[in-house]
Amino acid sequence: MTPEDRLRDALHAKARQFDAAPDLRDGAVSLAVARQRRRRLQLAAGSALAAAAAVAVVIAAVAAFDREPSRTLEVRPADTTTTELAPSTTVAEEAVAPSTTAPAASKPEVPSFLVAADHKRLVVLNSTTGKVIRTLVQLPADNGEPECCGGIGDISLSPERKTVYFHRIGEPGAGQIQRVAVAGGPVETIVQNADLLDISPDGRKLAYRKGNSGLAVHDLSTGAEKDWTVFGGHEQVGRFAWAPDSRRLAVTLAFDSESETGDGVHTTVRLLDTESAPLAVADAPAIDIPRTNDHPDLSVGAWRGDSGDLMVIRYCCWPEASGGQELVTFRDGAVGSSTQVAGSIGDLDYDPTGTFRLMGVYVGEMGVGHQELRWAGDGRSGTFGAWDHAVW
Amino acid sequence: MAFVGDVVHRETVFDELFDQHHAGLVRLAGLLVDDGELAQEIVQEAFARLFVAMPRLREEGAGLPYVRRTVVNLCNSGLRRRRVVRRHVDDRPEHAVSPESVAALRDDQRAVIEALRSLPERQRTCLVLRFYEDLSETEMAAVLGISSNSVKTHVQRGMASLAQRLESHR
Repeated sequence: MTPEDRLRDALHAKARQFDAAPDLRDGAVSLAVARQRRRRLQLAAGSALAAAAAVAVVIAAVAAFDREPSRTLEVRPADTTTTELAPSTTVAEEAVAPSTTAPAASKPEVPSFLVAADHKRLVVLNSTTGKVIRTLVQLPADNGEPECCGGIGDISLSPERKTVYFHRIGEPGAGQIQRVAVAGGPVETIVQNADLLDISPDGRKLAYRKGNSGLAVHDLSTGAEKDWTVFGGHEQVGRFAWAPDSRRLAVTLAFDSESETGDGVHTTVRLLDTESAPLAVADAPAIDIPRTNDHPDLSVGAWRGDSGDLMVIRYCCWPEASGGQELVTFRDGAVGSSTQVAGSIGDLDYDPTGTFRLMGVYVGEMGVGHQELRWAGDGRSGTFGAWDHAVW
Repeated sequence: MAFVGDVVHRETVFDELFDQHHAGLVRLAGLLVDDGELAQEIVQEAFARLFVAMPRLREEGAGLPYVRRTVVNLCNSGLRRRRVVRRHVDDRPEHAVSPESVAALRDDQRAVIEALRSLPERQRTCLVLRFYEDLSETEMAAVLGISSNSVKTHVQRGMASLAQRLESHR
């Protein structure tokens, strides 16, 4: 019996000791209804005060903008805005129109690249119409054997938008980085034994996670590879993102550390200089990003080329079932704005047109496989069905 | 299509979810907190929250992930509260187990459960979700509100620690 089967057997045996009590449904409903009544009373009492406070915030924001005439108007999330997202409805992908909530004229008209929720299909999608333009990779179905045919994981798009690099999922620790032309054509394997990836803004370097925990940078013109050290089971590289200078790389590093919550893993964001001599990832300077509550998780999202803003995902709202994660901008040693999102945030990418200074956010709601492409800058969203990875 | 926001339909969906998943969720909570009464309370609380949240859940399939996530979060916050209470009340070990609760287990099963209890909270939760609930990494990430990478890390380290602890008790 494998260790996994042994654990499964023990858990099922133990679970049988916890029998459900007689029907508590009415109790749950009564509790909920009583709370709703109390909340309505509280809201009625507080609404006048809240309205006055909201007006004061708007007046203060306008006044502050007037005092800084040189400042560029940016569509950025307000400080700590909570956005409730309901799961999107899954519909046939070829006929999906995005469910935008703002004038369509202001939406960036660029294709995006998506991986299907079953990890079997990589497509080019028109972000305006929601229609699939082209299927770049289609893997065979598993037919009930989940490990039989591999899948497609992380994706990254070359800066000239002509090549998509992606992680071809294989056996654990044996995945490959492959690439395919946006126009279609054969798939080419670039790197063995790798999974997460990000291509530099100048298109010359490919950073990838190696052997399921380490980090390497691959020079696409020479094929040379530079490895960074991690310390075995104690450290693991997570998400990473290139800076606009194609030299620095922000890296999420997880390491063992017994915390108050007893989770055993903390994350930090490290800033690597990829042109320096390789060293241990943990020796690179850390970006200090305060945590919320007692939640230790951080993850690098994306780096906006025109400003130097680094978007980081902060996993925040642990006690709330309807809570989720928080997008935090970081610049020059300080946390800028933050936006809380009810749900799980997957891939983050900035809109390449720059015209609208919008951010392409890929949000996975609580219903698994129901994700939403979202422009968090002004709260608009487009729903394209169930996908698992996305880049603009 | 009827939306969950429809009052009559909402109650029907709620009843179906309760009938199909209440018992299973009590067992899940029981595994996480190792306390039958607390597990019942947590699951009742989770369903109460679900009832309030249902008008916002536009898709029918969202109810179960919502209530499961609430159960897991309440289990973990419930455990923290219980730890604090115990620190102030007595010196009982964190996972005091009644003799009858382990009597129905074989020796090998009991050893696995005891080793599981000694793991850090997040690793333990991940292992229960993976090997009892049979959730995928993506599903676990959605339940726990953490990244899939973190889930993978917790499962790998949890399994490694579990094997180590079982080995050392041989």
